[in-house]
Amino acid sequence: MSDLVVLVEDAGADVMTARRMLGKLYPDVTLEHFADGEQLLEAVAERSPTSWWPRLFLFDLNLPGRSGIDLLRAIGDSPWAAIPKVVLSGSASAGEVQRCYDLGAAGYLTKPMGGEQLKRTWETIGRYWFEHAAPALRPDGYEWLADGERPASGP
Amino acid sequence: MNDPTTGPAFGAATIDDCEREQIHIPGSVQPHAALVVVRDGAVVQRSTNLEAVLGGTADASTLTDLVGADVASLVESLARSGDRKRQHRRVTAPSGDELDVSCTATDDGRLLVELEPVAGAREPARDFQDLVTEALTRINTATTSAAVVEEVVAFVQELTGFDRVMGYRFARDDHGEVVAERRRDDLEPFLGLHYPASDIPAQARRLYLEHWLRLIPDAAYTPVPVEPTLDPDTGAPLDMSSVAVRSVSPIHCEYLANMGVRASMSISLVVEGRLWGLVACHHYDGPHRPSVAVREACEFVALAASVMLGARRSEERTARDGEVQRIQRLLAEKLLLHTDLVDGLTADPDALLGLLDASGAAVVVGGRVQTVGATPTDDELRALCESLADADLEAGEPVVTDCLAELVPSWNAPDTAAGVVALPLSSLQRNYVVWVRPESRREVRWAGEPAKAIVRTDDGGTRLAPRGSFAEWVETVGGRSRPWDDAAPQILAETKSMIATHLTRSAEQLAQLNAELVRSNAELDAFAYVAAHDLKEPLRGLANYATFLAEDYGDVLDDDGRMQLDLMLKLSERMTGLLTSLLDYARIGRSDLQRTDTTLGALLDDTRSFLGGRLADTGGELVLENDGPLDADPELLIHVLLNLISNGLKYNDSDTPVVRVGLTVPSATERGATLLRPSVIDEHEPPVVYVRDNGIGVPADRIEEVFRVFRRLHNEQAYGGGTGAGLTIARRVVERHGGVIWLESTEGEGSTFYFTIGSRP
Repeated sequence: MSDLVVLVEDAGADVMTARRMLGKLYPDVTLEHFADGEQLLEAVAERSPTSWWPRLFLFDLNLPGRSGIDLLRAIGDSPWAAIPKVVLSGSASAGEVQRCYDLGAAGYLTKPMGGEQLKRTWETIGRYWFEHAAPALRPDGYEWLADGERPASGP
Repeated sequence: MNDPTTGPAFGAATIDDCEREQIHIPGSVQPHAALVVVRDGAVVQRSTNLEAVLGGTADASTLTDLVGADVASLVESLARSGDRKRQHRRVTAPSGDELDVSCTATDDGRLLVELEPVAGAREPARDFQDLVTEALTRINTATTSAAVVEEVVAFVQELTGFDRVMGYRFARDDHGEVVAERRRDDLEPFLGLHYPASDIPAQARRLYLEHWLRLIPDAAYTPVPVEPTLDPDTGAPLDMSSVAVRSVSPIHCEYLANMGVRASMSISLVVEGRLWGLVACHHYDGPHRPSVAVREACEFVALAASVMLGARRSEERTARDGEVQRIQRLLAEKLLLHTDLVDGLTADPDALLGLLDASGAAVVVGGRVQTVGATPTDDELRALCESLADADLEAGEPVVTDCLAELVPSWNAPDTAAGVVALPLSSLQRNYVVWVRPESRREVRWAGEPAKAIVRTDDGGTRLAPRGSFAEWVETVGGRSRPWDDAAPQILAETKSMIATHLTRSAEQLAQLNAELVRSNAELDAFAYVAAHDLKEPLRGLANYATFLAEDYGDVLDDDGRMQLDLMLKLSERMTGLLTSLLDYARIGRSDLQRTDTTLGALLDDTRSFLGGRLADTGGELVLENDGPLDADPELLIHVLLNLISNGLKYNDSDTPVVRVGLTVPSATERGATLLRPSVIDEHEPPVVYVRDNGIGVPADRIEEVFRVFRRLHNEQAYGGGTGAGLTIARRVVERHGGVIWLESTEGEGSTFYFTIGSRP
């Protein structure tokens, strides 16, 4: 089963960039796109971690309606809390960066502007999250744990 | 006894006696009349000329013996009839000669009887009641003070026949001016001359208030003693205040002689209980004695004139009040039309000057000086206001002085400002409205030289000498102006409240404007933030698509096409930089300050880590010189330090770029020519942070430019480029902290940036 990356991004050019860069670098990775936070939350409300378990969330910070900050909070309180969440933003202010990390963001990246920077950023994302970092375990993964280590009740 | 300076009761007058000279107890009379002091009908003292006056029958011990029962009883009844005012009747003496008898009753019941022969006295042949009536009519219809004085002078001259009759008016400082004159055609005019106050000593002016007419028919007279000199019962000297024929001060006779005056008469003009002036009469060719009746007529007309002067004076005061009110209304209108106080007050120069009848005026506000009329220089006016504030003279009250040098000894009174009125608007900020008048020597012709009224005697003492020279003399004692109007304090109080109203209105307008400005600034910041942020998105798309284009179709493009794509990318990068700066700038305006008690050293450590490799790349050094506490938003302040330090390293051609950072005190900062900073820094302000580099420096004429947004002094490629917003952002951070930032620089040697951090509000 191929890795799934969930992208919440309202800007078409940024969505296209992500698709292209990921598609070129990691053709096996599937990108699921939501144009705003509302759509994501509506979708997850109907889904179960057992059938839908992304490898990575990518949130744009400035979204219409619910912001990336709101999504960090919402996903952090959901069954998908364990999945790494990376924030992408057009600009970085120290206050925003801090707030994102406080809410459990696994990373905060300033969106690159073309050229080498563009390439390097996506290579770094892919190499780290898809090649080096261990994936978060979905609930049905508990079965390989010893009896005593299993949560009392799975979702 | 013939020496006028050694009359019976006078020794040689010394300066110590000058104001104390006891002119009311001379112990002698003038020869033209005799004096008899009567107690209970008995003669207790008499002047030694009594025989001569009465025609030989002076050897008597009672008044009845002397003048006959009829006259004696008349005198008694006259003296008892009214109050102690002098009464007069013309009688025939036992000798058959006509006598003018005047008498006064004293508090202790004595009668002072003056006997003056009618023979030898000057009197018009016809009944002069018509003249009196005419004069009274003219005085009554005179419309100004000057015209009243003119009429009384004309009347006295016509009736008495003195060679010269002058209207003499006392100024507030008691010096006198000749304001009206009738004279013999061949005489030199005295009109317009000023006489110093010492010419008529204070005790003489007091006597003049009580008794309105003095006569010296012959200034060259020999005083006639009164015998016995002291009252035989009480042993007291005889108080002759109310005696018209009393002998006068020898100093006065000397004064008259110096003027060539042989006979003199003066009549008081009294307004509201104050000696307004005199009708002064001079005769030159010989003795001159108007009769008692003529003198009484003069006194009567002078009394009428005094009453009219009082009336005219209140009218003139009312007219002046009206004029002041008109000017105040005018100024109020001007203030309404001008939001700026200085402009409003000086909009109509005549109004500001006319308010206090000044020759110059100035408004000094916040070091700005606006003048009208003849004033000292701006610098002198600023210094004057400083002095007034330093001397703390006014305690918020206006200063009104005709001699500023007395109040502020350091004031080297320029000709234009010997007298000053200063209305403090705010003594704290040393703001004043100032009115000035020049030295009065510029305006006044003095008669004689006032400074020479005192001469040294051979024995080393000083003696009062009547002024010897009467050629016109311009007084050289400087530094004093014509005195200000008595109503000045009232006018100033009204003016101040008018200004206060204007300032209140201005403050309200200013507060309103400020609120609007704050709102529009906030909107502008919000706009800049959103614009910068949203502009980045399409820009990012452009840059990314350019990248993809190069990747996908690079091999079908020629070198020129690939270069153009590359250039698009570079331009995108540059625009990103600009937008990031704009975002930072807007963000500083929008975010709240997160102030923390920290130290410069701690902030510098963080800054160093942000600098990262840049320090090593340039081979530069960053040195902390004086550490100390700072109360600031660390994130923003690091932004400032980062900016100043990287500028210092970047714009630097030295082998080893060095940036020194530290705290200093305001007074230690140099005031070089290439200084951009506010002129005043309060010593109590927190310390100053400096960032000093050994870089390329900034040319003096370009220092102001460095803080302007997106302004770069070098081309894009030189010194690693930059958006040119760094210093603008630094200044905004400092200003958000209530501080100021400025720069001292010498081209080729380096720059030092200074900034302060204000206290928490």
